[in-house]
Amino acid sequence: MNAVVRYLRDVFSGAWSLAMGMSVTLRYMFKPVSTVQYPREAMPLPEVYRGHIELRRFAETGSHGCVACGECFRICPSGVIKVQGLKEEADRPNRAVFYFIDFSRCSLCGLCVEVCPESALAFSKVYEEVGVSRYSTVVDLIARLESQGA
Amino acid sequence: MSFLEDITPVLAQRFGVENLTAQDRARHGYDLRLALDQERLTELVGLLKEAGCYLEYITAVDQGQVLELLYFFGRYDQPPFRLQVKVAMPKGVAVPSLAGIIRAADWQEREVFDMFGQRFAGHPDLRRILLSEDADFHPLLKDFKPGPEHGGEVVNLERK
Amino acid sequence: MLRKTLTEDSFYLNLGPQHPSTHGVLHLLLKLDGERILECKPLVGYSHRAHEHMGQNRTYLQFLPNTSRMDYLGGLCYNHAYCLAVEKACGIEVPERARYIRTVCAELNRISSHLLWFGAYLMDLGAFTPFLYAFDDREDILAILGEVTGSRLTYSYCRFGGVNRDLNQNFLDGTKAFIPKLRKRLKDYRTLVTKNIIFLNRTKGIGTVSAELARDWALTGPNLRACGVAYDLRRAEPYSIYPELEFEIPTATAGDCYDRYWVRMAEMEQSLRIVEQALGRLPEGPVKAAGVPQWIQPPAGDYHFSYESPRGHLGIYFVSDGGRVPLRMKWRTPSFSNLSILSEILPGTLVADTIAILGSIDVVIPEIDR
Ligand code: SF4
Ligand code: SF4
Repeated sequence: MNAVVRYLRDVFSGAWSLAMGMSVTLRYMFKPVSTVQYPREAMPLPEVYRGHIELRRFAETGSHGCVACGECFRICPSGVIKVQGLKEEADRPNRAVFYFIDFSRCSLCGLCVEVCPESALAFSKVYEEVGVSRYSTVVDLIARLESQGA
Repeated sequence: MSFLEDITPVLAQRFGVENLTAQDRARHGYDLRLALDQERLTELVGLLKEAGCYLEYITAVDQGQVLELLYFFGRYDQPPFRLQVKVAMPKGVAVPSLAGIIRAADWQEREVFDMFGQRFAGHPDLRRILLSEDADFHPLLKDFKPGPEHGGEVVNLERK
Repeated sequence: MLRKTLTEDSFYLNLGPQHPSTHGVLHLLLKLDGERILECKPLVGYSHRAHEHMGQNRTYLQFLPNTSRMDYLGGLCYNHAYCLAVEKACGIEVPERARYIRTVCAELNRISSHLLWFGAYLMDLGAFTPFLYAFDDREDILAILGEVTGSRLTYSYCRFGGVNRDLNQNFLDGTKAFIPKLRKRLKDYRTLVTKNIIFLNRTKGIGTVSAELARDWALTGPNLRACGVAYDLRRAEPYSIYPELEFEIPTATAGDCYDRYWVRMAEMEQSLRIVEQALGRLPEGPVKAAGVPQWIQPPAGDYHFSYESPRGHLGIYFVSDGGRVPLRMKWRTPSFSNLSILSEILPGTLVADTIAILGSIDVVIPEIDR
């Protein structure tokens, strides 16, 4: 007798749980869809999104503003920056001639951007970069800036 | 009466006043430091366990010839209490294991063994825990220099 | 998966390292007698990345990005803890506004961590729908936090002496809209899951841990509070602005899977309260202390700091010799201790319960392995 009662109670409470769960699910069926169909639509990126770093183009000079002070190179935890400067004119600061960075080891921490005294660095908003080998992740940011045109 | 006030005279009496240093909690984060001889470790830990403490963690600091083992004990109640037990001894000397008294010591001791090569006498299962079983080095010792033989390449961190 | 047969009935089963229910690369070596577990050995270390070693060969600031990578679900909490630890050692005063901002962000991070756990746990137990709802809510938090930190998981947001960016309007509006939304969702979760008879049968009375056992194994966090010990470092050793805030520490009594679940769900509500209060009182002012040197040099000595991470007692211990690089950097991660109790509570249970128990402990493997 007892077992029968327990069995019936289990059946009933199981059905009740199911009905309650279904009611929640049904309610959400008529709510707007929250899935974003990724390759076809993209999520809006926040203003401050931290993509990989790049040199900023300054409107006045039409070029980068890195003076090759080496601050970013010193602070980078992963040691992935290599910057070389050249004194072009005696009374002007140095100017970077190449700026290599290995993106594959960059942790996107942003310390280099913060530390730069010239605000020469910025985060890009690109997150879909591909390469064919690990060496394509080593990029000269100055050459890249120049190749992007004025 | 806080637990700290209760336990301080007990520890001072049994393990020596000169071994007990009060610490500034607001700065160092713990109340007491007890420098201890390794033979008396199990005695102390038995006492602490009776008193309702739990083992927060075990770690070590490599000081050249000497390895300092640090045991941190805390309590689950208010006001907070934290005791640091410091066992300093030459490298290579085994220390009695606490795994038989406090179970949490089991993994903590394995980690110290893994990282520093410190042996714990009487540990039921002293194997490497985080590194792979065939590793032949103890990475947190100061004379350890990571090289290509430890996997991966070495980033040259030239900096001032 | 079968390794070798011991006797006629007992054999070894490798659960993991690649198993959907182990949440990463955890390897449980189970000795079974049919469906019943005789012995369990958790094997960890598959994602060891030498964070402690890295901490000892770079400066304090350079180690900061590492902290959010230890526990990828509570990255902001870890950032926060690390900054608090170093600030305490150096005696850096943090501006009032920055302290509020950090707390708001850390609590949002705690909610997102619990939400992910909730979804993943229910999925382990075979319920797929709650996972989708939880991820929907979590997505909101990630978007809100992304607005100020610029990142979704590895935040690196706190700095010594403050935070690196002030809150913006999007963040404030987003959080204001999010709080009532999650409150409504939590109600739905209650109907959907907490009262569900299948869920109750699978979690009630399973994996029971007594308070005494918990102390022996040094459990902390929600796992400990489920055993009836109201130990929360936000109250026990208050830091930041927690003493000024009103919130409760949810505790349960039985210490089984259901109670661990219940404590986390209740904690989310408390975290919402904290966020609401802190945002309501957000003071004006700078968000970063002036004059914090880039190469920070704590005075020689050793320092410990305790923080309540989403999973329990996070302890940071470092020894400074007065230089730019710490002599020793130790992290006591909560999951490390929480996981070790498995070898005690699993024997005697069934394989199906293993998943329920393992999930309810809420481990994050990279945090164990460091
Ligand atoms: S973002 Fe961080 S890791 Fe990457 S280059 Fe800059 S400092 Fe180095
Ligand atoms: S810190 Fe700025 S100016 Fe200095 S080298 Fe780096 S990018 Fe150039």
